[in-house]
Amino acid sequence: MISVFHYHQPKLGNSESEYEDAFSYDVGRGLFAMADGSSESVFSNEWAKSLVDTFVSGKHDMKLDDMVETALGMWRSKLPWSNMKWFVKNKIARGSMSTFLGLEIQDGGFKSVAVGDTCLFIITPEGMKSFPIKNASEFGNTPKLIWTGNPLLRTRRSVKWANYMEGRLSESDILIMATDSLAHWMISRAKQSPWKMLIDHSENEGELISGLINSGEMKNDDVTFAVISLR
Amino acid sequence: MYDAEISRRNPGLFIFLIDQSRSMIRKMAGGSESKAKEAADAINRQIGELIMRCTKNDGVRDYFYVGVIGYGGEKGKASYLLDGEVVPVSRLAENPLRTEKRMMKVPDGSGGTADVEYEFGVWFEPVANSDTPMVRAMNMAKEAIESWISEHPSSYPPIVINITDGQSTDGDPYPVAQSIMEMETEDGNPLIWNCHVSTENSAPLSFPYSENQLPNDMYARSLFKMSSVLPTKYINYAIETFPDIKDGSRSYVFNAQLEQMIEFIDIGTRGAISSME
Repeated sequence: MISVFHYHQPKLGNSESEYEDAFSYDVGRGLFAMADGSSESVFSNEWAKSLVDTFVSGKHDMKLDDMVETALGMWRSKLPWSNMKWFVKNKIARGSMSTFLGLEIQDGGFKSVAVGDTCLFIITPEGMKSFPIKNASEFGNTPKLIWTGNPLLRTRRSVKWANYMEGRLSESDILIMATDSLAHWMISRAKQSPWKMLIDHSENEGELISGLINSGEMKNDDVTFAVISLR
Repeated sequence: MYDAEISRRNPGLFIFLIDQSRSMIRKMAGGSESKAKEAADAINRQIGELIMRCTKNDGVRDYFYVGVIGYGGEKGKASYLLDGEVVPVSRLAENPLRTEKRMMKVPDGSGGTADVEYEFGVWFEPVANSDTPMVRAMNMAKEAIESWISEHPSSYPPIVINITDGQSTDGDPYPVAQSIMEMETEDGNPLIWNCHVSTENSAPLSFPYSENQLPNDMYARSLFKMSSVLPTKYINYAIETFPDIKDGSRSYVFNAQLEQMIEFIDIGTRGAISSME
């Protein structure tokens, strides 16, 4: 029996409408997806949402390029072309970008696919493993991203840079998905069992996250995480 | 220094000074239009780029304020060319004089580039009319920066980019330029970038580090002295294109052709753009 607890908050000082991460899941199918839209592009919140919703619809398995094609159709249909200002139209010519992390849990095992720095943590009695980033030094200002391509030309590159992982799970294992600022904090404190703090604060996670940001322990950014347990 | 985060709460300021003297009517070296037209195009394009950077789904966020001061459009006078003195980018986005359809290069999805049509914003027109009252223009920039710093004491230091083809006709602009460069926010001194545009196809000299590199020309030396010493951050940007740049290089280009002018404005604005939150 899978149970999920998830939380998000926009960058401190920003409003909910400025939040550009996305998370979606379907416990019945065992599918979970998280994405972090790039603030450099416009409508990247919609792109992140299109990616996670398409993955969780379960039609593409781990075939990333097929999934991105479907997500593109969804993203294009959300763009408000009819009353778009001239300067927004100029910017949309550069497309939208987002990280992506997909997770499938099935038959006592899991498969995951990742592009960029949204991370999966696998917590077992032996400790914590992270995917696709293993060391804090790997976080930077230019994570790998999935690009919509140019919506005017309708061209895009196939997805390079995807990382894949699979493994077995036991009932006591916990999986955590997190966007980059929280993922960076977790990897930096891997030896201090950081997941326990998340689980212990499941009633007041906003206080925990804001406290970590205000104390300088964590970068001020949109934060999204999900804790998935198997019993 | 020069690393304050630029945000809506702590925005940045660009002031462009543009020479509108009669000689700006002459064709620009390396371009197909007059110096006045190429300079106006370059600044209008840069305003469009700032708007692009600040555009989000819900509109344009005011990370930057922009002032454009023309000098010599009327004899002995300098004036603000935008609708207002120092204008937030959101207002510029909503109020161009007009937009023109032009082509830009975008990634084509297979590693190359493709041309797509876009709207080029125009906020002011080229003028080439009278003399070169650069002191008056610098004084207006100084007043704007003084008031900016008093309201935004911790902001990224204001950046002045001056495009000219001739010698000041209302005195030596060096003292007022120096007083601008001596002001400071908590993040450093305002930077003055001087771009001398050329009609001739004579060799351009970008980011000189010594007066000895310049011809024996009072005017070139005066502009050199009134250009900031480049902070390290900007040297790192410029070194990709100008490998000879070194510590002590000034934010100055002498005899710029079209290509050098565009590179110069790009490097001059990049430091602030890269500091956006």
